Amino acid sequence: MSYTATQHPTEEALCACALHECDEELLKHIEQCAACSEYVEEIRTISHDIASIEDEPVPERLNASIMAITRAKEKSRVVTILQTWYKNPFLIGILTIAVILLLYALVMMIP
Amino acid sequence: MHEHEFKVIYHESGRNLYNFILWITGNRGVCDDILQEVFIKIWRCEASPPDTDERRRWLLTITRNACLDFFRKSNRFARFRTKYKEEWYEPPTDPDAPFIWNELQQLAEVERSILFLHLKIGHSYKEIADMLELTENLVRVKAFRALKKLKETLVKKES
Repeated sequence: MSYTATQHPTEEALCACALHECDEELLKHIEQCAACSEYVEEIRTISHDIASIEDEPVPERLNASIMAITRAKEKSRVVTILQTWYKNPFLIGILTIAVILLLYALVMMIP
Repeated sequence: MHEHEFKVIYHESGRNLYNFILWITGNRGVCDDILQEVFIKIWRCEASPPDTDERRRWLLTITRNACLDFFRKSNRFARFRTKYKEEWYEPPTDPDAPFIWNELQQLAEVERSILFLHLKIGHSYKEIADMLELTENLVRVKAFRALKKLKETLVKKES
């Protein structure tokens, strides 16, 4: 698309150009047109202001409580195993075999 | 997830995610709760985290969803945020930021997210579109509208 002194690019195109999505034609027009150049410059300033807002550090107490998540989970894993051992078929199997062996040993011990 | 992986993720992305939440919610108290919630989710995740670039997108998506969930679940906070805008949006600690920060808070959440992801993190519109489940063109339009709104308000204020 060709631009002239009276036919300007859309604001969207200018904004895209300010954010580095610019074609040759548009770039040439912006260099020659004061109004479009000013528009692009304003958008660039705003984008730059936004990008340069400093990142805040994570508060120390929050760091500590997030690191504690892993410890809490380890504890809760142990508690869960203790509370639900009877639902574990593997443990039930082992215990059943142990009881059978114990009973067998007792029977064998009886004279 | 292994403890080591969890720590690596936190050290690499904790600060970034904290600031992303702060941009979306505008309130540090809520930010603390949501960041904790996000890392609990990550810790409970059974699968290994994706690799570098994919991981960044994964984390940002989880974080944004956690923010949206938070406001969906707690109407109380959402009402407070609407009613007491001034008290809710805390200014950043950066002394030069409040001017633009206050204007940013007037934008819709999705517009703020797009500006953060594009201008601060440097994600492309395509990547943002994948994260926010929007089309690339819609992301571009929203970014343009957000910048236009900011420009108009700032010009109005200056004059």
